Parts: sequence; structure tokens; C-alpha cells
Amino acid sequence: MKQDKYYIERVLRGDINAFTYLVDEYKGMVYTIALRMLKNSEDAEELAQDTFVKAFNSLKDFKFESKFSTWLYRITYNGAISKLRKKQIEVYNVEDTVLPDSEVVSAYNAINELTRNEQKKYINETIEKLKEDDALIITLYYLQENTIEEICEITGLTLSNVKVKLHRARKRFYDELKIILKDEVKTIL
Amino acid sequence: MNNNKFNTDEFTKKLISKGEIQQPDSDFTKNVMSRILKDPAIKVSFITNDDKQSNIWLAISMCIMVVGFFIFYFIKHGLDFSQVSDGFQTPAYLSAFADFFSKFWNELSLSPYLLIALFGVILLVIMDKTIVKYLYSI
Repeated sequence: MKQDKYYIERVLRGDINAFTYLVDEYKGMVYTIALRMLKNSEDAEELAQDTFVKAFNSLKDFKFESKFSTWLYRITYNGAISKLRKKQIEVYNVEDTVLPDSEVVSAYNAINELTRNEQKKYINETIEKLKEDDALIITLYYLQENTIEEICEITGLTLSNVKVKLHRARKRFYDELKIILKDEVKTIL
Repeated sequence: MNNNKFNTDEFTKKLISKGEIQQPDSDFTKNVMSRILKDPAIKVSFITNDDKQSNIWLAISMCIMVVGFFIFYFIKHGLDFSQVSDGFQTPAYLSAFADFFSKFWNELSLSPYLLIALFGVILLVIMDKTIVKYLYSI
């Protein structure tokens, strides 16, 4: 956070090249969020670039009331939502969100049997199959370890809304992972 | 399971952390900076002024060093105002200063290798502040 502040102040004083530090520091996560939301690498790259350009132009309005990363991810999320508004929004029924402990443990054990590359592949594949909001919340909470409050700030959702979405996203994650692992076992056999 | 309260969150975190944060193309930063620099409203400065406060302290410490050295010199060699050259009276303080600077130069006695190294460092700093920054912004 201190380093972010130092580089932001340098950019505001006219050292444009100092912005490259911020780009390099956060491009991975911004791109990942964009990819989770848009499901397409070209669109995600374009959105990630747009995010940094918008952030640069609005840097003077950033007041350090939150972390720079939270502010940046919020810009990414809003940009993704704008793009997704063009798509038809699917409404699905509220489903059973009970997640048995045994399902969690068996998924964990199954993944641990695989090589590191296979683990990465299946986890990423599973997250990609989730809905945009689910994929985003899973990524922010478990991969980036943002707090619920930070996720509320990024997405504009209420605390209870985020908690419910997280709970459902986790259930869907395990459902998808089970399907993917089952399919892989079938192809091996 | 030994724990009565199964920690789904902890397990899920360990599981999902086996995935990874994806990275964009290798020239992503360059593309972003190109888009930013193309904006005609942006004025690019290659060398920025650092915080002036630290320069003041630098100036003060340099003055103290110079004054300190003068004091050291006068304590060691004393002030001699009795010199008179042929034909006309040389101002005593000018002779004292000439004497001081020749002794000062002798006392520095930096080896040529040190001087080369110092010169190399100064050159690298100048290059970093000017040429490298300019090349990066192209």
C-alpha cells in the first residue's frame, strides 16, 4: 500500500513512467477478473487495458480511502458488467446450496492425486465454467484473499448478497469440479 | 475427521489456490503505456524533480563537511598572514587559500581506480535518468 502511494504520487507529479510499476503489479489480477467475467481472452485483455487507461485518467480522483487494488478491481468489474449487459442475462432457479463435507474432502483428495500442472488445469477449467459473478467472487475471495467488505466495495453488492453468492458459488464450483474429474476418469478408462 | 467443525472455507481456499492468477500477453504493459502516451493531453517528463526537502538536507550536510574541513585545516596548519612576495604585497588570504587548496588536493589522494569507478557510477546514473527512460517511452 505504501509503495502504491509512492508511485501514484510520482505519476501525479508528472512521472508517467512510474505508472508502469502499478500496471506490472496488478495486471495479472485485473486480467484474471476480466477473464472470469467475460470468458474470452481477447475481450479480457482489451478490458484489462481499458481498466488501466481509465485508472490513469482518474488517478487524481483516487483519495486513498480504500486500497488501490480494490479501486482498480472495481473499475474492472464495472467495465465487465457494461460489456455483459449486451448479453442476455440468464435467470436460474434457487437451488439447493447445501455442501456436504464429504464432497469437499473427496474433491480435495482427488485433486491432490494429480500433478501440479493438472491441478492448475482442472481448477482453472472449473472456474471458467462458472457464471461470471460466481467465478469473480471465488477468485477474489479464495485466490486473491480479499475480505467480504472489499468484495462489496468492488462489486457494489451488499454484505449479505456477497455472502449468499459466495456460498452458492462454492457449491457450484464443487459440482463443476466433480463433473470435470468424472469426465477425465472416463477418458482415461 | 478429528475436528468437530469442518472448515469448508479452509479446504476450499487450499483447493482453489492450486489454480493461479492468469497473466496477459508479455507486451501488455507496453501496450497500456502506448495508449496512455498517445493522449495529446499527457505531457511526458523524462526527469522528475525529486522531493526538494531531501536536497536541502544534502546541501546542509555538504556545507557542514566543507566548513568542518576548513576548521580541521586551520587547526592543523594554522593561519599564516605574514607572506610577502617579490615586488608587491600579495594579499595574505590569497596565499593562504592557494596553500590550502594544494594541501587539500594532496590529502584527498584518491587512487585512479576509485576515480574511474566514481566516474562510472555518475555515468550510469545519467544514463538511467535520461536515455533509458526515453527509450522505454517510445
